[in-house]
This record gives sequence, structure tokens and C-alpha cells, in this order.
Amino acid sequence: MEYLYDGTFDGLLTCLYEHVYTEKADDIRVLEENVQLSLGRQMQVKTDLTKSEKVAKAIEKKISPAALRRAYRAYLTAEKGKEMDVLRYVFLGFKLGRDVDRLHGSETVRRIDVLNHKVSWEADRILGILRFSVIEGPDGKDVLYAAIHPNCDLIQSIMPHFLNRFRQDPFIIHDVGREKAGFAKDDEWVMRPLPRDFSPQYTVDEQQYRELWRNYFRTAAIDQRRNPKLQKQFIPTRYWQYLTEMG
Amino acid sequence: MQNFESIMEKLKILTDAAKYDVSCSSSGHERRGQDGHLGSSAAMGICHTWTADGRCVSLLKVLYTNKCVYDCAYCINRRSNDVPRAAFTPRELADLTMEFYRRNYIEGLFLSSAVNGSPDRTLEEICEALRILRSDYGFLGYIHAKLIPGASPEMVQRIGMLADRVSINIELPSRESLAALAPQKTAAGILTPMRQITDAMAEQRSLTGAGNKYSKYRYRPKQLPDSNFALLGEEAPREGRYSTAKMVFRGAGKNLTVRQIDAKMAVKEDRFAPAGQTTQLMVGASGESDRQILALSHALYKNFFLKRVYFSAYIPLMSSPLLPQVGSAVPLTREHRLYQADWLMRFYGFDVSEILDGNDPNLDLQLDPKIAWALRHPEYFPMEINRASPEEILRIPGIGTISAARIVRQRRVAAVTYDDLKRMGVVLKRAKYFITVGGRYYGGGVQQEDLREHLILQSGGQQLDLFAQTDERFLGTKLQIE
Ligand code: SF4
Repeated sequence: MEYLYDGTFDGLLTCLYEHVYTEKADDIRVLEENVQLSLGRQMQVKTDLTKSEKVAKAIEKKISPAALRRAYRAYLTAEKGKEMDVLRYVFLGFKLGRDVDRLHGSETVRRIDVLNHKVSWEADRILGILRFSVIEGPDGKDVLYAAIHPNCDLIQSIMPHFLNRFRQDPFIIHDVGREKAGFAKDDEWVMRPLPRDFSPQYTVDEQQYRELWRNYFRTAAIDQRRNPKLQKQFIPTRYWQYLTEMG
Repeated sequence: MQNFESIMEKLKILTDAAKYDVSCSSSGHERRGQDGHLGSSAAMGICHTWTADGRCVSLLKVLYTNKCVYDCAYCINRRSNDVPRAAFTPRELADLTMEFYRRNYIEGLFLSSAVNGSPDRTLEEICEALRILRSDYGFLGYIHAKLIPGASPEMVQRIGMLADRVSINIELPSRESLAALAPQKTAAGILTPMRQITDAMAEQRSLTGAGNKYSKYRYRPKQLPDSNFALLGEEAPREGRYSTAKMVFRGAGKNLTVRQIDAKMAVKEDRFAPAGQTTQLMVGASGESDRQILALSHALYKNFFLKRVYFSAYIPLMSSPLLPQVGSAVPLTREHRLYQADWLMRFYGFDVSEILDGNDPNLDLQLDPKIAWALRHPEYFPMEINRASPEEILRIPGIGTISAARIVRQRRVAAVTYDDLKRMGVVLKRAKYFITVGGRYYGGGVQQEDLREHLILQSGGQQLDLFAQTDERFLGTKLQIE
């Protein structure tokens, strides 16, 4: 049976629940709008917070809290087939208990390792290469704004890092592709929809500081050590669009 | 911004003057193959960009000034060299740092300086810049301040309280080269502040009472309040319960500087160089062997509790009869091998005497020192993956700390097979010649006597050879000191 769910993590956990109590899933995909279900082959799974809660608790108890986190991170990637990867991992975990994460030789476990690595790698990179611009807030005070286009869904993983950092300035991190943004002020933040064509007003100093940074970046490279291959290895060209200094 | 043009000019000059000094924005070589670790430099382990030479940029690395009264032979800023000179004012530097930091261009500041007037006069201004950052702007980012040889004890103390990390560069790995190439500096001028920093950190650790000279309040780590991670009540309904704070990544705060952590825990921030002390040795400007350099760095770790010793391949820019010819090859491969050897000593349980146990006082430029060691010691190999101790496993070429840990972990629940090794991240094309798995040897294709040649070819072969040649030519220009 092919499961169609709403794309949320609770939805995915509900699928795992149905996998046990109704017909087995052999594929899980996100339900797209205006698509006709083909009955008998496909099934729409309605997200049910009681069921997802049960599954989450079971994972924490029968496997480990770390396993739940790992499943969640795997879900945050944009990889095809991640839902079935999570399913296989969780059910292998139900069989083996907490030892499942020691089975580095298993394809199922390795796959979850790989997906986890994708998220943490990208989150780590974005922490560094995301660029804030100073824009003018509604009250005339500075607000920091950054646009990102990550593969994985990771606003929530990077917000705390900047909350720790910016005590004075409110800030916004905008996932342009997913059309949502984290808005932070003081010690708190919320996630809100924000359309992709949001275009802020930059302050006068902004251009000058960008110019200074570009200048710094160019000057800092050591000509005798030029190594563009190495540079690309660290920072795939896909991410260059973020970097004020590469332009 | 007023005076934009003049800041631009200063930034250009003072960045250019600082860039040959590798520390901290570590060289690309050094980062590669370290299992994702950034060692103790993790305090500023976020890379914000990569320069065209493949180096990670995490700090704004500039000189405070390049006006210098000294005349060190190897240095582009030496008094007798004709270059444009500039100096920041404390306010200018503080503003620049703060504005770069809030835009997330940098993690903090890496500040060194030439000697403008006297060491203390220069450090006085640097102190003021750091004070503005910390007190006026509440800057909690990372600061690495480089002290100037000959700094007075008061100055060392003041800077140590403002910076996360302090360092004083040794540069020349022996007294003789120091006397020849940097005659105005003395070994005492370097080692005295270094000792003072080591002692201050030791003293700080032992003083715990309230009101001691390092902290007005006793340093007592508190549990981080959860509210730091809390979301506001409502959230987009799509996200369900897992968009809540619970699922926020464990590691999301891992790159905080000590001062940021202090601030979160609401403890007083007066701490002396919480991220410790480092130094740098220049490689290739003077004639010391790798054995001398590694022995010195080993002694520095042991006696001064340094966090890192950095190696910097000397780039011949200055002409002097005492130095390699201008334009001769930069000993990058050698620098890389030294970092690898240093890494083996710090994380793999190797000793200098093991890494260089042959007759040659220098590292093999063609091979990773770990492979070179393994080839010199066929008596330990092949090792059985399912039986060798963790320490032994770490000595196998192609196996790093992470894959070693995975092997040991899995062994407790299931025997490790050859295919498992690949999934664990073992570099089999190297490791297979040194292991057996369940009694079976998989490296049959290559004869023992061809193994060295084979491994050299494998590890970058041609290209590295080319490097090695230029290096050898370069090493041929040995210095005549005395
Ligand atoms: S004191 Fe420092 S800046 Fe001045 S010449 Fe010597 S190495 Fe260069």
C-alpha cells in the first residue's frame, strides 16, 4: 500500500502507526494537492496527534530518545524515500532496542547516519555562510535579515545559535523556498509564513559594510597558495549565492 | 559611515600585512581529514567563507598597525621594507569588528600587530580597542589577541582578561635562528609572557573563592535555563508537536564562545584567556629539522599546556642572505606533514620518537607519517580487526578516530565484516594491506615490496610527487647559521 501523508513529522509517525495496525506501507509520499487517489493502491493517512505521540513514546522507550532525534533529523532532509528509510530504521530498532545504533554495518542504520549527516552538515555550513543585512524595522530600529535556500528544513535548528548571539537586534531568517521565516526578538522566536518575494529596505551603511567585507575577503587570500579546487571542496558552488564576497 | 574611504584603505593594508600568518584561520591542509574535528580551535570553529587559497575564514584577521620599529629579516612589515603603513584607532577597529560580526561575516577578531614605538605602547591601544568591544558594545564574540614579545606583565594580564585566547609567536624554532633573523627579539621576551599566561590560567583554576582577582563572583556553572530555547506559544499548525523546542538540535549551541556561555549562565565574565594559549612556528625559514620542530612543539604542549602549536610554511617574500631565495617554493607539503604528525601525537597516541624513528630527522614528504610508520613496522601487521585493542586499531592506516570507535562499538554486538568496514568510513584501499577481517587478508593484489610505491601513487601520486620535488629543492637551500 502506498501511503500519502501531509508532510509533517507527526504525519510520518502516524504512518508508522498505521503500518502496524492497518495494511503495511510499501511506500510513503507527501500528498500533493488536487491529485486523485487511486483506490486500493493508495491510502491517505490523516495526521493524528494521539497516534504520533504513541509512536514517539514507543521509539523513546523501546529504542532510545536519541533514536527519535535521529529519525526526526532524517525527516528534515529533502531526500527521496526518506520516509521509508525512517520506517525501516524504526522497525529495526523495535527489534534490536538501543543497540540498533551500534550496527554501523547495517544498510538501514547507515542510511539514517547519512541523512543525519546531511542535515547537520548543511546546518553547520549555513551557520557560517548565512549573511545578515541590516534593514530598517517598523520602529526605525535595526533589524537583521537573512535569506537562505537550504535543501533541508533547518530554520529551527539554526535559530537558537543566533538567539544566543544577538541580544540587541531582532532578526529574521527566511527560508525562501519553503516560504517561511523565523522571527526572533529578545529571547524568543516564532515561525511564520513569509512569501518568497519579500524584499526589505536596506540601510545606508549596509552597502558600505558589504563593500568593506568584499575588500577584506579579496585581500586575505594568499596568491602563492591559490587552490580553487580546495575552495570548492569546502564550499560547493551551490552555496555561493549566499556569499556577498563571491560576487 | 563617515570616513569610509580611509577605513577601506586601512583595512586593505592591515589585512594584507596580517595574512601570511596562518594560525587560527587555519590552512586548508590542516583541516582536511580530521574527522570533522576542529580540535581546540572549535571555539571559533565556524567557517564563514573560504578564500581562493582554500582557507577557512572565521575571524577578522588584521594587524592593529603595521608600523614597526623592529627589523626581523623574514617579515614584510620590517622597518627597512618599503610598504604602505597604516594604523587603526581603537574605535575604528571596534566598530568594524562589531559590524562584521552582526552580519555574520565573522566569529570574532584575530588581532596581532607590529611594534609601533614599543610593545607596551602598541598593546595599550589594542587593549582600548578590546575594551570598547567588550564593555561598550557588549561584544561576546571570540577574540584572539597576539601579544608582542617583550610585553610587560601588567599588559599580559589586561589583555588576557579581555581576550578568549592569547598567543605569542615563537616563529623561529631555535635560539640561534632567533638571534640571526629577529635580533631585536629575545627568547626571554617570548617565553616570559608565555610562562605568565600558563601560570595565570593555572592559578585561575585553583582559585575558587569569591572575590579573587579573576572573578568578582565565584564561577559556578548553572544549568542553562530551558527558556533560552523556548518558542513563543503559537506556531504554524503544520509543524505539529515536533517543531517545538524539544527537537531543537542538541548541538545548536556548540559553537558558543566561553564568554557567550558565561553570559547565558549569567556568571561574571572576568576570566583570563578562557580559550587558552597557542603559538606558531615557522617552517622553512631556518634550518631546523622536523625532529627538532616536533620535539619543541611536544615540549611546548607539555610545559606550557598550549592548546595548539601552529606551523606556518614560510613564504619567501623578503630577500636576505640568511633566508631562502625570494620566490622559491613554499614548503606546503612539509607543513602538511608536520600537522599530520602533530595530530598523531595529540590524538593517536604516537610519540615523536616513533614518528621519526628512522635515521632521517625529517618526515617522509611522500607519505602520511602514519603510513610511513606502519611500513617501517611490518611486525605489527596485519592486525585482526575483531581482536586488536582500540589503541592498536588507531595505528592502522586508513582508520580514523571515528571509524575506530565504530568498529569497537559494533564488536560488542556483532562481529565486523569486511563490507561493514566500508560503511563505517574506513579507507579500505589503504587499510586492507594492514588488516585481516575474521582471519582473512584482503590486500593480496600488491606484493609487500611494492606496497610503498603503491601507497604513494594512491595518495595523490603524481601531483604530490611534484610538490615533493620542489620541496626537496627548497630544503636544499639549508641555512648556514654560524
Ligand atoms: S616585530 Fe613583528 S611586525 Fe615587526 S618586523 Fe618583527 S615580525 Fe615583523
